[in-house]
Amino acid sequence: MMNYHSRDNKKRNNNKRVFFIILLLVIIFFYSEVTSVVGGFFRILVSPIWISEKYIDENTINPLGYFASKKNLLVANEMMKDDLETTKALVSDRKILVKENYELKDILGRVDENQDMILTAILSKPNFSLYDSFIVDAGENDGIKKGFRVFAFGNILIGEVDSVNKKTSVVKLYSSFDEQLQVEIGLYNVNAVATGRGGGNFEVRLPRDADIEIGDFVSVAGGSPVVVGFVEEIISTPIDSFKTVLFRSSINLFELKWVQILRQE
Amino acid sequence: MGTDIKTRIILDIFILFSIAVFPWWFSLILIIVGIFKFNDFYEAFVFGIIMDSFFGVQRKFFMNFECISFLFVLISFFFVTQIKKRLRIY
Repeated sequence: MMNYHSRDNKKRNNNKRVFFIILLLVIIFFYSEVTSVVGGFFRILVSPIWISEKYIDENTINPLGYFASKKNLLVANEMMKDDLETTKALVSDRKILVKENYELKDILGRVDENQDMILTAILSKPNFSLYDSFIVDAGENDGIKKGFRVFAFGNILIGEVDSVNKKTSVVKLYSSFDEQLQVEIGLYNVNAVATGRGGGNFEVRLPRDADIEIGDFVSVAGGSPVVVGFVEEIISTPIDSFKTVLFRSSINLFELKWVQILRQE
Repeated sequence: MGTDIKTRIILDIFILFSIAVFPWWFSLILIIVGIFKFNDFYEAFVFGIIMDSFFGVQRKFFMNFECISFLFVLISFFFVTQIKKRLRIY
């Protein structure tokens, strides 16, 4: 009697194990179909949470601010006012340079086409995802396609659209660890391949005598004035014939709330 | 039995909420807690699939696989189940 029950249980456990393995294999082989079906359903459930979170984030003050000392707040306020005045001056200078750039391109017969940018809100920030990606609230319904470039503040390139749903899209960051991007560095457009190090940071290996300085801007290869970041540090040793150039995006990716997507393939 | 089911449902809802709101490692910790606390916590695989469907992108670091969360849950499920068999309290 005992042996019969034990055999029966063992057979049931084996059947359960076989069923489980078959189910796992089916899920793994048809994973993209499974994720699109499951994801689509749960996205409908979770979208109100993201929208509410965005609304609360935009309409509430950081409560930790109440615990900051008055002196620190006054010092931070003065520093930000100085930074703002400097930035205003730089922006005026930039406007003149942009105007001159357009006039020169017009003379050469290379006028820029109108750029079709769409402003979208970030629903889920990069550090919340294992893949260092983030979700934006624009999708197929807004004409978004895979491969469209994503910018912060209009002209700082941060990533590209990796997958698109009806109302949302997932954006892959170029600065994600081990991702690569063709860039040009500095006034002499030194061509290089930048490798992402996460958090808006990149690393480039260049010959030691490459003419690069700290503060040089880094743009996307191809001649377009699309900024990726600025050189922060150059690491060079006498025994190494290469130097490591570290640069980072000039914006804080984890505090971004809005991005622009260029609807152009 | 009834309290167990209620706790399990509350945990499931909280894990789904945490996938949307909290960092990925917090959600994975909750999933591992669920696997530890309950027998046959198969909904953990569904949560792995949800995380991949929401955030999955092809990345060189992950060899262009978009099933990293699911694999992580699968490995955790296997190891935690084996550990539970060897613990006296289970």
